[in-house]
Amino acid sequence: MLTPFEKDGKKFSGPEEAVHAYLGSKEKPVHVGDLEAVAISKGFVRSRDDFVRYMNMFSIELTKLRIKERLSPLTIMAQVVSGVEDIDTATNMLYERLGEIYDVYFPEANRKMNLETMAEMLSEDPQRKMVAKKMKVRDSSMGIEVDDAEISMMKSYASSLKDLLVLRTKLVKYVEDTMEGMCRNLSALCGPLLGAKLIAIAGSLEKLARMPSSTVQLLGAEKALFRHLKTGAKPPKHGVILQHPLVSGARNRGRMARALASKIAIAAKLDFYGGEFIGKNLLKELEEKE
Amino acid sequence: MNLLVEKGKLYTKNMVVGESVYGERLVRRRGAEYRQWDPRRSKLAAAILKGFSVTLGRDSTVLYLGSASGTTVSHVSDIADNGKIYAVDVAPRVMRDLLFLAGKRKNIFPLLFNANLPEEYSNIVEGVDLIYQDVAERNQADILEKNARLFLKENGTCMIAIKSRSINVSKKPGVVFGEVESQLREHFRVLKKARLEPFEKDHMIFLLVKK
Repeated sequence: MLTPFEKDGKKFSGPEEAVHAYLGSKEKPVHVGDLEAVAISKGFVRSRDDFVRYMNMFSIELTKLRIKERLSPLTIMAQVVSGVEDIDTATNMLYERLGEIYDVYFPEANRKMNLETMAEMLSEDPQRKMVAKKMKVRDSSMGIEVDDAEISMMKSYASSLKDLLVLRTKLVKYVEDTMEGMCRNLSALCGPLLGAKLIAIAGSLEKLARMPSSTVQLLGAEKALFRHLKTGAKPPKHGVILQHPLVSGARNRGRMARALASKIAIAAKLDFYGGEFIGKNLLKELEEKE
Repeated sequence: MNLLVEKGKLYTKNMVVGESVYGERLVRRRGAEYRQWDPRRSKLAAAILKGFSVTLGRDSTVLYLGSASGTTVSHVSDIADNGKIYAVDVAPRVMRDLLFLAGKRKNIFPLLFNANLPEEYSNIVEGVDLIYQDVAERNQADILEKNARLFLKENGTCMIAIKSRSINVSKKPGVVFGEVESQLREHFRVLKKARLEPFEKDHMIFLLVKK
């Protein structure tokens, strides 16, 4: 057990209380060269072992609190944005593979199916008769005949694919709602998904809010930027903000990217430091530029 | 001494017997358990294999800047088993790993602070025998100087690992190291320096004392 100690007539029984007293203290903290010796001579702790155990617990408790301060639902949302991208990669791979499989059995219908229809159709019933009717193709096929084992395998494959697409919709909804609630300006200016993406790349809304617009303009183009710095290749004009319709559709993308980045810098600052809602005006000013 | 060199491989005596921290190999030597210390994962291990003397004893007080998830910190904790390690990092993500490590190793004191702002933790950290710094910041020499001024004991030493690419990607590593060295020489005396090849690319480590 640790020695309880007293300060200003108050008793502290453990490191948690000490952390709170420490954080709430109005005294100007001072640096002590030999903290251990002072702590022992003042009767704060009894021995070196005591001191080490105390500092270990104290720093753990303090750090726990400080970590919490730095986290918010936006930290989770930034991960979810990457999760959406993971799903896109995964569903594309599954779609391609299932297509290769189905092509052996029913190529005529397979050629007409995109990702969503394939997931939908084959998870219900992959057999030719059913699919032919829904896809409006003839059910005579150049494909080979298969057993129940293949049919049921294709069906499970497709249901997993479908589940992933459902999950994707839910994740996107979650990101949209979170952005709408916590980053209204950013969300209105560049759409919830792109806004969330920017937060994810920057690391946090705070970091994004502190970035100069020139950095925002190139978020997501780090590879091209470093290639430019290293070899003198052409500098990139835009990073992920290319996904913004105003930038991708602009006649002069570099110019629009620069303008959008500066508006994003403003929007992020408003959202992080708690400002008014002017996201729509920011967007309108941009539209007038083109 | 809790450090063991055997056939060009490094080991530290495991403080928490039976537990491997990050998947490193556990071996039995001299009737005790040792953890293998991979010079490709730890710049301090690389430096030791490069012939740096270990200015770290069982009772040492260490300020470790840039502790990350604690791969190297765990070995420092093995060596200074009766010492104190103030482990500072800014990133909450890696700090969580370090919290779990500190829960098992009492001599580690995890601190979520920016090494660039030592005033913010100057009332927690005391005078130290060794400052070990491995941060990916542009002003690495500056950070070390600030921390050494506040925390380094008169006879203490510093070790700093410099990654040239985090200072300037477009300059040749040799040029960057030269610049950093002259910055360091303003405040420190260089006892030893070495490039970390083949263990680590474009890295250099310095052993320093106060001027």
